Parts: sequence; C-alpha cells; structure tokens
Amino acid sequence: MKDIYHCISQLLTNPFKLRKHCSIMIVSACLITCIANQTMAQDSTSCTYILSRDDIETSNLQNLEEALSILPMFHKYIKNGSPQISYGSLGIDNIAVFKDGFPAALDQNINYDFRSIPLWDIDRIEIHLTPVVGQVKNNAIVINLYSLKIPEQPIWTKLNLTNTSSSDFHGSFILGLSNLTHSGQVGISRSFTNDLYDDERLRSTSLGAFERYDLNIKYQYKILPSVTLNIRSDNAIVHTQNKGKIIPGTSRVTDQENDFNKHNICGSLQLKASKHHTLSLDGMVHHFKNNNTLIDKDLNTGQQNLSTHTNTYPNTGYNQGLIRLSLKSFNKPLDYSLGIDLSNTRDNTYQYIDAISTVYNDYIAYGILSYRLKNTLILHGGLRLFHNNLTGNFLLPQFQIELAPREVIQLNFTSNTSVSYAPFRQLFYPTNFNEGVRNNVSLNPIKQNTIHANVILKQKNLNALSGLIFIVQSDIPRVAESNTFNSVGKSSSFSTYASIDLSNDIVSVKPSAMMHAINNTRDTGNLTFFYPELNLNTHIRIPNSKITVGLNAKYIGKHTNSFISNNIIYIAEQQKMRFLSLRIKRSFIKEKLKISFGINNILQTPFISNDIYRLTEINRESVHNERVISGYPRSFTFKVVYTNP
Amino acid sequence: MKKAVYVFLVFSINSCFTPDGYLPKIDSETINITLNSTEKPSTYIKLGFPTSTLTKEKINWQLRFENTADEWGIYTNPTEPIRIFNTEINRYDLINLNSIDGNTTWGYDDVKSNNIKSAVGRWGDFDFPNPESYKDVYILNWTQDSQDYYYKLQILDADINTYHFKYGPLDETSFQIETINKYEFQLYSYFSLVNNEQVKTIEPNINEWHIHSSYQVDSIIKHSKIPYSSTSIGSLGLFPSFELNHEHVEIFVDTVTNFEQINYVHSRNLKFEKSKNSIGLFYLKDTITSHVKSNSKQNLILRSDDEYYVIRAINIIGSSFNNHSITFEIKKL
Repeated sequence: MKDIYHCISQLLTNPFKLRKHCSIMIVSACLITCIANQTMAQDSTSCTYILSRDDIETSNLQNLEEALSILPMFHKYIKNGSPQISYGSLGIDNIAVFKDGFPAALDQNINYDFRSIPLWDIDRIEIHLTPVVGQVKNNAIVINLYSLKIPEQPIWTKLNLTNTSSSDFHGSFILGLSNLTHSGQVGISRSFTNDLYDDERLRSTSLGAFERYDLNIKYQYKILPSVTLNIRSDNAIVHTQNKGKIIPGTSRVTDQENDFNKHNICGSLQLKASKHHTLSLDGMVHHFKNNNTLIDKDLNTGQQNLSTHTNTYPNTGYNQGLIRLSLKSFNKPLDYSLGIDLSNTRDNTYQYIDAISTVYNDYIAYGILSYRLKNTLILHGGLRLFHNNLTGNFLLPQFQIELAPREVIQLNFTSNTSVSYAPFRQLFYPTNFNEGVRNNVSLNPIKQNTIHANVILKQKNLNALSGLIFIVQSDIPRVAESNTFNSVGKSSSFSTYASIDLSNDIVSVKPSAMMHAINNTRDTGNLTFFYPELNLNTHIRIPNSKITVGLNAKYIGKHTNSFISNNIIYIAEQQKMRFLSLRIKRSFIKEKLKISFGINNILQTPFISNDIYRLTEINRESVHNERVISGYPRSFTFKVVYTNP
Repeated sequence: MKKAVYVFLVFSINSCFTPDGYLPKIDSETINITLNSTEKPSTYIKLGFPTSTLTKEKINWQLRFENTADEWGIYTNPTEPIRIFNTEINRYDLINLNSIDGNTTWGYDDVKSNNIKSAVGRWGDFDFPNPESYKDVYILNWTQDSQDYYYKLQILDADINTYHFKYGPLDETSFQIETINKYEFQLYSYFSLVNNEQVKTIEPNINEWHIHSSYQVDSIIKHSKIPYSSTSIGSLGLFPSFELNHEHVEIFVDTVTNFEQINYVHSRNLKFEKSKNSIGLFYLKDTITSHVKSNSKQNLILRSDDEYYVIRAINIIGSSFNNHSITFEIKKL
C-alpha cells in the first residue's frame, strides 16, 4: 500500500516518467480492485437530453464533433477549418466531456479534436445540466458518453459498415470474448470523411478530407460476485488533408496536413467496504499530439517538400494523469459521498517556456450530502475544496432541492459554482501564439455560477420536462491595456427549455423547444441576444414488418453574439441552421442483420453567412462578411450492421 | 462471415484521399521592352500572371528623396551625371561661384551591390523622429542640353515625414524654400530644381512594380565588361541598370543553374538580399565587335511577398546602346 501511495505521488508529479516498478504497481492496483462502469454520481434529474443509439445512427453521426451539431442546446459551425462549439456563452472548452465516467477530452481548457472521439462504440450521449457531482470542477454542463456494454456471450462480433453518396466510409468491427469471469472486447475502426468544397471546380477545400483509425479495448474481470475490474483504452489516429489552391502562374500548391494522435488508458476500482459503503479508486493517463504541417507540392513534377512557411497553426500536445479516491455511502435517509481527485496536466510539446514549466496540478477534496425526507423532498448539498498550483484555493458550493421526487410532478432547483481554466496558450505561450498578446500564468480560473430550475412530469408513456438555466461566467481572460491577458471578463447565458418524451413499444417522439439568451460581453456592454432552437427525434417501428423509420431534426434561428477584439466590441450575426435526417431500417436473420438507408442533412445549406459588425457609440457598421460552414451537404447513407450471435 | 469481411475490405479501399491530379507545365512568359536614353529611358515591370510593363518618357528632375519611414536619403537623377560638393558651410548666403575652384572635390552617387551611396551623404542627425540637419550647403552641377547648371542646396530640419530644403541658382541671391511630404505609396519623391516643382508622375505606386529597367551613370573603370554610352564627363558612362523595388523585392543572381532547372524548391533556400540597383545585369559587351549582347547565363531570381520569379534576358536588339530593345523570359516559380 505504501508503494502504491509512492507511485500515486510520482504519477501526479510526472505521470509519463513513472519508474518501471511503479507502473507495475499502478497496473497491479488496477487489477486487484474493481470498478463500476459509471463512477460519476449523476442523478437522473440533471439529465436533460439524451441522444440514443438510434438517434446517432439516424443522423449518421460518426464522431463527437458531428454529434455536437445535433445535440440539443449546442451551437456549432466551422470557421477557417476550426470548429466553433458552444452552449450560449460557454465554449466547448468550458464544458466537461466524459466517457464512462472519465474525462474524454483531457482537461477542458485544451483544444481537443472531438473528431477523435468515435461513436461506433457509444450507446448513448447524455447532457447533464448542473449535476451535483464531486469530482468534476467544471460541472455547469456535462456531456456524458456511455459505451456499449460487453454482452455476456462466449464469443460476440459486430460488424458495422456505412457508405454514403459523398464517398464517405465508416467501418468498425468489434470482437468480444467472455467466460463470465473474464470479458474482453476489441474494436477497430476506419472512418473516412470526404472533402467539402466551396466550389467543386477549384482544388482548394473548405474542409479537408479526414481519416481516422481507432483501436478501443475493454476488459472486465469479475474477481468475486461483488468485485469487478474494468480497464479501458481508447486510441485514435486522425489524419486531415486540407488542399490548397493552385498558385496562379505555377503548377504549385501548398497543402496543410494535420495529424492528431490520442491514447488513453483508464481503470476504475470499487471495493464494497460494507453493506452501505463503497470505496473507489480510479486512474487515468491520457496523451495527445496535434501536429500541423504545410507541404509544398508541384503538380507537374510530383515533387513534394515540407514547406518553410511558418504561417500554420502551432503544434500542440498535452498529457493528463488523474487519480481519484472516493467513498460513497447509501444510507436512508442520509447518503454521502466523499473523495479526493488529483490531476496533473502537462504540455508535451513545449515543456518549458521562458523557464516556466508548462504544467499545472489540481487537488480537489469534496463532500456531498443527500438527505431524503420521506417522499416529499431530497436535499443535496456539497462543497468542493479545490486547489490549483498556479492560482491557489477555491471553495465551490453546490446545492439542489428535489421536491416530490416520486410524484407525477417533480420540482427541482439547483445552484452551483464551478470553474474551468483559461486556455493553455493564454497561461503559458509566447506572444506569437497569442496574436501579439502577452500570456499571464496567474490568470484566475473562469468561474461559472449556475442556477437551474425545472419541473418534470412523469407518466407511463409520457415524460415532460420544462425549466430554465442561468449561467454567469466571470474572470474570463480579456486583453488589458498593457497588452496582457487579465481575468476581468464576464458573460452570461440564459435558456428556457421544454421537452416531451412520448414513448411506447411502437413510437418514440421527443420534441423539444428552447429559447437562448447570450451576453458574451457582460463586463463592457449590456448586449443580450436571443435565438430559438427546436429539436425533434422520432422513431417509429412498423408492426409486423421489422421496419423502423427514424427522423432527427434540429433548427437554430438566426444566431447573434458579441465578442471583443483589440478592445473593440464586434457583433457576429449568423444565418439560421437546419438539420434533418431520415432513415429506414429493416432487420433480417433474427435481428442479426440490419440494413438501413438514410438521407442526411436534407435541408442543410453547407455554407452560411456570418456577418461581422463593429459596434460604435450610436450604431453598428459592417466590417466583414464571411461564409462559415454549418455542416456537410445532403447525402444518402447505406448502412449494414451484422451482429453474431 | 467471410463475405462480410470482403464487403468491409471493398468499402474500405473505395473511400480514400483523392490523389493529386497532374498539371501540365506552365510555359514561361516573354516580354519585350524598348529603352531610349533620350526619350523613353525608363520602363517599370510588374511581375505577375501575366507580367505587365509601363514605359515612361524622359522627365526633367534632379533630386529624389526617400519616402520610406525612418529613411532620409537624398539621391540624384541616375540618368544624368550630377555632381555634388559639400561646402560644409552653414551660411547659405555666403556660397556663390567663388566657392568652387579647381581643387573642389566633387562627388557622385555611388552604386554598390546592395545600396546606393548618396553624394549628399548623411546630411543630419537621424537619431531623432524629426532629423536635425547639419545645415551644410551643397553645390550641385550638371550639364543639360549643352548648358551648365550650378545650384546650391541646404537641407533644413526635417519634420517626422517632411523634408524642408532651401535652394537656388549658385550665382543668384534669390532662393526658394520647398517642402516635400513623404508619400508612403511611392519609394521616392522627385524634384526638379530647374522647374521649381515636385514631379509626381515618374514612379508608379509601390505595389505596382517590381523592377525598373533604366540607365545609371557610373564609373567606366568599375564596369569594364558592360556596354555603356559616354556622358559629358569622360570618366563616367551611362550603363543599363535594374533598379529594384527594395521595399517588396529581394534578389539572388544565379549564374550556375540553368534557367529551366530553376524551380521553387531550388529557390526557396537561397540567400536573398535586398538590393536597390544592379548595373549591367543581363548585358554583355562582345569582346570582338564591342556590340551589346545578352548574358543569358545570368538568372535573376526574385522573391516578392512570398512569390518567386526567375528572369533572364534572351535577346537584345538595337543599332546603339542608347536605343535598344531587350527581351526577357520570365517564369513564376
């Protein structure tokens, strides 16, 4: 045990240079303990939206970045090849993303390539608004991905092939073996998405073709009936080719290529300490590299050389090590959960900048109490003491009341405070990575104060949900007069939402409507902009025909927001977006073979205008009109899924 | 199961990155310009796709002033042998024809490989945003249409983007004070002492030319292998010159590689340098006939705003050096 503690401390200081015996100890520790599949304490009331496996297939979603276009509440577009994903004033870097209870995209202050998170092994995606949890420091909104469970079959295979009229191909093969004590699953995948052109006659791509290879492994060992070991490793290589234009008067082009490699391994331990107590120990090591290269090509001679130009995105790469220890008690009427969470995030590309080590450590100690007063009330309250080695200590409270949790109509009110870090580049990187602005290593974390209230109606075949959520962010990095980042910015988001889930054996209809209000520049101007959003996810099983029809739709109205650049307020006005996908599926050979045909992005215009205005004292003046990408154009999808047995 | 694996493989191979297409070789471009030292001594060339040229007629001017921020050079008209004497005296009224005699040391603008040394020289202290002039009085002398001109010139203190100077005929007490504002869209501002006016129609805007093919007065001894025509000063000749837009252009003269073999990859690693003027590039004097001929072994590789070009002269035709045409082959790399 002493050795394990030694190894944990070494893992936190430098997780990627563990001594050999420490590595063995950590792995051994993983092996001798068990885990539950989902380690995050998440109550059902915080889960607002679910994207099911059927929804994922109907919309032909292949990775998390694509899913974030369809997921309710999120707004995504692509500008200059980079995805811009947000909920209200919260960028995706301020939103926690978890897969089976572990961070799926490292710490959320890092530009992660969400295309590297595949969905072929995902059962469902859930959005949790203000969940009462201990471990997550940025839990205003949490996206949870849950992977497919390993079936208890001696041998199990699943082949999944998708081809589209855009010449995209997505294939995956999963092999599972189980003898009830040991269960293992290996999944491999290749996914290719073709180029998107603004003008097919030109060589230059608006969005480059990309190819991803995955190797995802899961292993489960049931040591005792109550003790199970789970280990998971996700690995992906994503290669993107952005073709450049032919330089006039020459046969030359400059192409930009991007390679994103990620590897993670995580294990979770759970020990049933007593009838009412569970002790858990989780660990994760995650590594990624994101390399950009420019290649000069002569299309006449076929000659290719690395470009000497430097005007490309910088290479980045980060490592994260994570250890958690938690104790949960399930007593009536009082439950509690205590734990510590130690995390180390390190830059693996620029390990020192100006003699400063580009690394930070988090230490979180938390306690959450839940008190149940018969069936009328549940009170959740918790505190997180959070220490960051760069910025100091923070106390983050959270509080939730559930009224009538078991009645037809349930009321909930939640308030919490969470934090997310400023981007790594703003903390550590030199001015040439920050458009001439100086970094500030002592930037405060961005604080998020959230209030969320909702009412839930529960009937046999009908669930309805309506609520509102208000998030105020403070200490957002802004450029000060000294040309340095300072923690002075404020923003706010407000959303009202209503959704219905009408389901029976034949039909599942899930419409939702919401109105969002964003104020990205709350610190300098009272500019609040509103936009509507509508979603519809429907699946109908035609009786006695083995045919299922699915429909996914999303509509986002004209989206306006404000931003600050060089101490000037700008307004960006973006056209509405529409997503509509249809699918018809038929089963064969006792449900082993499923063939489906779909049409995706039926109403979609791939390019929409994004008009930029400069705000003056009396009016606004147009400064720039640009086209951004809202998604891929209409395509037909043919999909074959074969499962044995 | 086997069939499923086969289907998987067929689909998998079908969707891949599209290979790069083939493009035919882009032909190089040829342009022809005519230079006449008395009528049309200057042609501005803008490289591009296609290359364009602008020929200018001869205009009377004597001085040009650098417009580049923080640069304060004053140069003479390169197509005329204009000589300058720095009296090192500050009193404008004391300078007259008696200030020159047989021992007067005259100077000319001196063209170096990467710069032009001005005959006026360093006329003040430029360590301030507003340069402080030493207020030396200069005497200028040149011959035009068989007439000798003597002028005196005194640079007054300059403003942050303005030249002030006092000038007049050497044998007269009257004078003029002139102000020239730096015009950021041109390399130089031009001034005619004889006509008492700034000449604004000489140089195109800075983004509209890369090379200025013209003439340059220089020492005959310095350029023994380059053809020239004689001037009013026996030791000076009028040479063909390539003035470069040094704000946007860097050059490398390659005399080793064949024109056909020069490409982008070859060029991008060369050590380019800023140059203001190159005398006699592409011109060669036939040792037997003394006629002008093109030096096709000289390739001028030019980098401008991340674009690369190579230029060579393939033919020079003309009855005399004062009136000839030259054909350039230009390839964008």
